Order: sequence, then C-alpha cells, then structure tokens
Amino acid sequence: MENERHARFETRYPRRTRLFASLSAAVLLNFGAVSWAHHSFAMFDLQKPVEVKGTVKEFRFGNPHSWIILSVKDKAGKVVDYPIETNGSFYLAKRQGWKRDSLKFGDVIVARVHPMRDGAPGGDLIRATLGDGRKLIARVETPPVPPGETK
Amino acid sequence: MVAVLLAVIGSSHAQNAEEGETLGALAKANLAKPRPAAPVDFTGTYNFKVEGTDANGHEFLPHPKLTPAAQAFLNKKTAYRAKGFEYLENAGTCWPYGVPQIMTRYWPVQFIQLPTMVVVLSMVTGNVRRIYTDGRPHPADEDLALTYNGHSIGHWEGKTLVVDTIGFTGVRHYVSDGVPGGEKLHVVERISLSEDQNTLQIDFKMTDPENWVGEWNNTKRYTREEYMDIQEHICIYEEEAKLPAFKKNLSK
Repeated sequence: MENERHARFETRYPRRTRLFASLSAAVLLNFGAVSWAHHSFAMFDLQKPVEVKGTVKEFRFGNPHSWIILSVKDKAGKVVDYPIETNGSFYLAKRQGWKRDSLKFGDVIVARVHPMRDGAPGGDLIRATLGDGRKLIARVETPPVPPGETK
Repeated sequence: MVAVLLAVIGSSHAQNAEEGETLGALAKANLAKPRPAAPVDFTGTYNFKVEGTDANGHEFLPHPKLTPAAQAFLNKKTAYRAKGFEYLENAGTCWPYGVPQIMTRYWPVQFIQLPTMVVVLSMVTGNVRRIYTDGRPHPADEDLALTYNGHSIGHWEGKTLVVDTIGFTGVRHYVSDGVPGGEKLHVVERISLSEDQNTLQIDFKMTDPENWVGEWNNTKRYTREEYMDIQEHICIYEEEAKLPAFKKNLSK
C-alpha cells in the first residue's frame, strides 16, 4: 500500500535502504545526534525514506524551516506540488554550506525525503541531488524515533 | 543646562511616581541610579547543549508526578502522535512556545545585560524576554497580563542571577513537550557562568499545583558561541500547513 501511494510521485525505493539506515544510526552514535527540527516529526515516516524527482518551483531559504516546492507528475501525469520542508537557513548555511541560491527555479532534482506517513504529497528533506550530481545535504538520515518522543 | 535637565527629569519622575508608575528599565534616570556593579556579565551568545538523547535533551525530563488532568492530556497527545497526528501542537502551528521552552530549543539565545535589566533574545520565533533587575517587584496580580513568557524579575545571589517568573497564560502553554503550564506556573531560574565563562547554566525550579506535584527541577547548559549571531525566525502557519499533519492538528 505504501509503495503504491508513493509511486504516484515517481518514487524510487532504494534497495539498500536498510543498510543505509543502519549506517546512519552508526554515524549518529559516533558523531552525536544533531537535530534542527522545529516541531514534532510524528507526521513523517522516518523508517521509509523515498526519492522524489521533480522540478524546483519555489525555494525559500529561511527559519524555522527552508522550503522546497517541487513540481512532480502524479500517477495520471498531472503536475502537482510536492512540498518539502527542511532545516532553517541558520544551520543549513552554518553546517551544510547551503546558499540562498543553492536551488533555483527550474532545477531538476532528486530529493530524498522522509515522506508523509499518510501518503499525502510532502516530506522532510534528507538530501537533494542536482542534475550535475552535486548533493545538498540537509540532515543525517534519522533512525526510528521511539513512540512518545519528539524531535 | 544640566541642572535644568535634571530638574525636569526629577519632576517628571516624581510626577510619575505619584501616579504609581514604574520608571522604565531604559529610562535615563533609572540607568543612572547608583547601584552595585553586577558581579557577572552574562552578555553573550549561547547555544543550547543537548545532554541525554537528542530527542529528549530539549525537554525537561524526567517529569514530576503529574496531576490526573495533566497526565490525561499527555496521554492523549502521545496516543495521537503514535498515529501520525498532532494534538494541539504549538510549534507546527506557530503558537508560542513560551518560557521555559524558548530557553531550550535548537537555536541560540543571546543575553544582553544592562544595569536595570537583562534582555534575553531567543532565536526561536524571535522571542524576547525582559528580566528586570532594577529592584521592582512583580506587578499586582490584577495588573498582570497573562503571557507565554511571563513577567520576570531578577536579583543577585553571589555570582548567580536568580530570575523569578510568574504571570503565565494557561492557553496552549507547555512546560515540556505535552505537559501544560497553567496560570499558577512559577518558574525560578538560577543562572550562572562557569569559571572559564564558556558554559552558561540554568537551574530551573518550577511549580504548578494544577499540573504537577511539588517542584520540577532540571538543569540546562549552554555553550558560549563567539562566531554565531541570531537570524530572523518567523513561523508562518500557511507554510507549516503545507504538510497535512498540521491541518490535522486535532483539537478534540
């Protein structure tokens, strides 16, 4: 069911998701967990990151969150908005080297995101890969959060 | 000229005093009053230091024994969250965090110390706290506007600034994730700097008989940051609402 829903947004499921998740957990343990979230993460599926290909319609670089609105094709071929929330400009700039023009209108990117749990279009950015292969890192891929905790 | 100016200030001060008004913290006459030098200058930028797990380091854990009403609220919130919904979540809907949560978020705080007040700027949603150290008391209860950051007065005990805050609203105000703070919330912060001046420590003592039993004590630390300033930080609901969990931020 999950796969079917996300497939609407030209989602590609990496075959090595589990391996990547466990590597990320190791990175977190080694280098300390860093989270720059503003609100609860309950809406995102932290266990099933997905990749979404689309064209940048809007990019807002600010706090508490930066936003990317991607234009993606749904199952019927209709272009729809796929809103992606990411860290605020404060930490994206300071720790990940993002600039205000890191993403521009019309850029075609593949965004790796924690998708909405209810299957609605949208997610929390992990990283974006640009057409020339450059990667914009937003966060370390987050291992599952125990129930009752918030980020 | 100076004498005339002083006379004018003096007479206007007296006039205001007759009306029971408090001299403003930044009034020239207040700033110029002779008072002992502060034993510590907290002026600086500090970033919250996560201790414990990342997810919980920002909260005030462990909880004290909650009252049945507060526990029921927390249980309800936890149950909704397990389903991917939110129950009266403030951050994602741009409601204020308030004190004490604005002191423990993911962004820095700045202390600007003046003779009559300490201004605390918390980057999260551009919050400002004004801690009056000019000797004024809290306003009378009927004069207190109930707010998310409350009314703060501070005094020195040795090298510790003791900040007393009351006057909180009970409307969607949380002390820690999922634990409400009500109108009887009373927060005492003992704020100190390490010997090397690089670690700021706040020992929180909080009481709220409507929501928990006894004192809720917790210590938070912050690292001085010499290459960091605060950026604008404005929560815009229409942006947050692009992600449907916040449209489903349930209120029943």
